[in-house]
Amino acid sequence: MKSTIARKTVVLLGGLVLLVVLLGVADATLNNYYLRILQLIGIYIVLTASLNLTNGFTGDFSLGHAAFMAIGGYTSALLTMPLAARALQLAELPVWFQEFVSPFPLATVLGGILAALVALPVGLVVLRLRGHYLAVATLGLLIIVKSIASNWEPVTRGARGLSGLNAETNLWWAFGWAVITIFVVWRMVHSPFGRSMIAVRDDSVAAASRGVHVFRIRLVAFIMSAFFGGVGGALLAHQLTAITPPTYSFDLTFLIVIMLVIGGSGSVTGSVIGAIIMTILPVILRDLERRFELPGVSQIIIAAALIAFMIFRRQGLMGNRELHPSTWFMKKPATPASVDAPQQ
Amino acid sequence: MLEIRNLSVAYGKIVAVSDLSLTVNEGEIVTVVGGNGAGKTTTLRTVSGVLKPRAGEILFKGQSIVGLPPEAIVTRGISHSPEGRMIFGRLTITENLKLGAYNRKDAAGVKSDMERMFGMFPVLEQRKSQRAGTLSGGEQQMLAIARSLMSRPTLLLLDEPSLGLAPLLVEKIFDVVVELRNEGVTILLVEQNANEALRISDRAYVLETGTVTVEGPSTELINDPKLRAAYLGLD
Amino acid sequence: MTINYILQQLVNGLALGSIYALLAIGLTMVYGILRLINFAHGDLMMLGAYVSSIFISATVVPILLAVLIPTLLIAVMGLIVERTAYKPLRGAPEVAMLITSLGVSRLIQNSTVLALSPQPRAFSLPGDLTKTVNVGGIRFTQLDVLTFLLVIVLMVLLTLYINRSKTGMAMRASSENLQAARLIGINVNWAIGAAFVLGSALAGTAGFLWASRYGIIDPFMGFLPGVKAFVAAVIGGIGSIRGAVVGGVLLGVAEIGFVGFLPPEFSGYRDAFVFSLLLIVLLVRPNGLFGASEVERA
Ligand SMILES: Nc1ncnc2c1ncn2[C@@H]1O[C@H](COP(=O)(O)OP(=O)(O)OP(=O)(O)O)[C@@H](O)[C@H]1O
Ligand SMILES: [Mg+2]
Repeated sequence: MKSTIARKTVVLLGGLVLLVVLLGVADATLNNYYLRILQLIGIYIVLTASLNLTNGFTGDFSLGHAAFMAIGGYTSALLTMPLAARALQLAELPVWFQEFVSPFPLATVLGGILAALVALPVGLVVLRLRGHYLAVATLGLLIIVKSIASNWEPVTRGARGLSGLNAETNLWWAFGWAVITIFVVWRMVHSPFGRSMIAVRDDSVAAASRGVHVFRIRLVAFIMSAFFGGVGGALLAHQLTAITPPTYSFDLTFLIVIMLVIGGSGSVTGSVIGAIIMTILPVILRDLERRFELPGVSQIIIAAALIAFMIFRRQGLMGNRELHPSTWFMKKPATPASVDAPQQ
Repeated sequence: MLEIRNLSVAYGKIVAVSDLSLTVNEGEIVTVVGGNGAGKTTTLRTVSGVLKPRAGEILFKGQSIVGLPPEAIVTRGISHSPEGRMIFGRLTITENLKLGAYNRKDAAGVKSDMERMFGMFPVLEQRKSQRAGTLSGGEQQMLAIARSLMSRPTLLLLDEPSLGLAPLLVEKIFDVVVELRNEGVTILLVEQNANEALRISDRAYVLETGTVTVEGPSTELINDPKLRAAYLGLD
Repeated sequence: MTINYILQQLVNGLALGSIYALLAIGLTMVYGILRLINFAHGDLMMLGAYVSSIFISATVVPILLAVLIPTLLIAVMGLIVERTAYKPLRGAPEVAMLITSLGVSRLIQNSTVLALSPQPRAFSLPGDLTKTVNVGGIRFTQLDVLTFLLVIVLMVLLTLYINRSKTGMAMRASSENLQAARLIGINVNWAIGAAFVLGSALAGTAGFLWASRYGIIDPFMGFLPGVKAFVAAVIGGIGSIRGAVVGGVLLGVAEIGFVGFLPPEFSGYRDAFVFSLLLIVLLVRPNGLFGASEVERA
């Protein structure tokens, strides 16, 4: 037992070192275009792995992830915006705010915290629903947040959005947060709490009768998911350096949902794989789309692929299995129970 | 008439029926008894084509019916009165009966069968344009049986028709079953009320965890002391 | 605020609400049977608008065809979507169906982008339909009148069909208990197909009406009205056709009222208002006004 734990630690540390070396090489050699794609991968890993907490592990299918991203994005943008840009854009805000510029890491965390704080009352309301109703209610949340972003002129500048942010997001922040998210999600899922999450997903009535606090579990998952959603939104804002309401649109929620289901909801490593594939694939497809002047083709291919996945490989690439480096050298770890509902 | 050979059925990973064989001859009443979760309902649902078997054969009148959609199986003459009745509570009693005849093309025959059902279950006629959900449990069971007869089956699958009914109604239901057999309908009857069921049936099967453990003429089973203790809740 | 202004808003609300009602009927029928939110429903409406625009711009064609042809074509389209994308998912978890319908929605939108253009195009009705009639200070267009008439006629026909025909009976039975319907030998795929054909036909009609009202169409115009129509169906009580109609009309009136009676700075929040209504209804009266089916609760 002891030796396997030590071995796991060694493998994980080794993996981290390898990641750092690879990122260092990438940072030194790649041009800006590729660096940005790589950063996006890191950001999408944060977003997909966190959405997995609700949509994958507790089975609460949310379409509102972009709402929490927007909260994190706008909050962090307001906090980090350079004074010059602020004087131009946010003249209506109180004076004390005009002078407070937060460092990027703090702003990112605060963006996440605010998203989580919003998720608490929202979760208390929408988590009384399940299934389709929850999906539509969370879509409603997204539309409500978008309306606020579009109309709260003194703070969000409406349709003009916030611009002139420093490009703070780099490879290290993007992948640093990706590693933190994976670590936290992994630890949550592989703990008694995680087993409760899966019990809630598979049969919430049975779970409740065994003494699992169903609602509390779902609420905590929702809030944690929102926190990292907010962080991801902040990272995205500081990659783009300008945000408007459409930055955090339903398209974005949908993209993350696609990443999740293609990777396999119920698998943490699946989220990583899904995020990587679905960041790179659209880039390639959009390139082709432009070259051959076929607008819409990339979206058509992605949508068709999604439908095909739902029909032929509903569990996604990974299902609920994990690709866990430390287990490549030993027996398979216990995997969470089946995601598939019985087929009739 | 019906021959089930080495049937296995599973829900995902849960195997509900395994290697089950069972025969029903024309004109018989055959009873299937067994504890909760033994696989009785699963077997009937597979015969009806709602579930697909993992392995095994189901022959009806000598022809395989595995893989046929439920409506094709109904058309061939098998009708299923499901566990828990499953009548359409928001539809009227007449509509429920009409739906039982969904695959029939002979309007006149359907009409006369409807009259026949009303003759058999007068309470249904009195309330024919009311919502079926307003019927009492026993009346709903009668409607469920009547609905399944509307397709003019030669083989009727009855899943726990006496469940939750008062003794008097149970008697009535079993009387109806005997009457149907006398009219030439073959019957496969699943019952928890094994004592009664064995009394009216020709042969019987005992199911345990998805497979047949005992089979024989009902009169033998009803007198088998081991069975009486284990399944019939007597003694 | 004059009584005329109020009545005027009511007319506008009823017109918008009628379109929501048409869309909501299709959504509620499909949800009733399959427990599927068809996110692509609004996109079928968009296709209807485009088909209609072809006939509108050819001035020789009578206006009736500009309504009838999209209605029929979109009915077929709805059936194709059902059979290719949704039918293979029978018995699948509802989330799989939901994701698929989002995919179908995207597929339809972007196919339109590819085939035509992502740019909006104008949809202009022949002049006499947009002419306003002034009745006691309230302005109607002939289009308003046409909208109400069309919606009422379609509603009556549909209700008769659902209540009287054999297929309608099968649809109601399937909606109440799909398993039981299958078990007793109802061809549920037929009933499901009928729900899609009828619902999509109404979406096709709605496409004409929506485009006529707003005068502009684009490939992405359908999604939000589709989701709002689902909200309407929930307000009315999902699974109930009467509920879909009442919910649609109420939602249209409420939405126009929100814009018309609150100070202008609130009008940007009209979508937010619609979804806040949804949340309130789901929490206070989850079965809606006429709902028979229950919301799955934790
Ligand atoms: N839809 C389903 N999904 C998963 N498992 C099921 C399903 N239906 C039945 N089972 C399982 O299959 C087994 C057999 O069930 P079945 O309903 O056939 O039993 P039964 O003999 O009819 O029991 P009862 O007397 O309680 O009606 C049981 O273990 C049951 O839990
Ligand atoms: Mg049973």
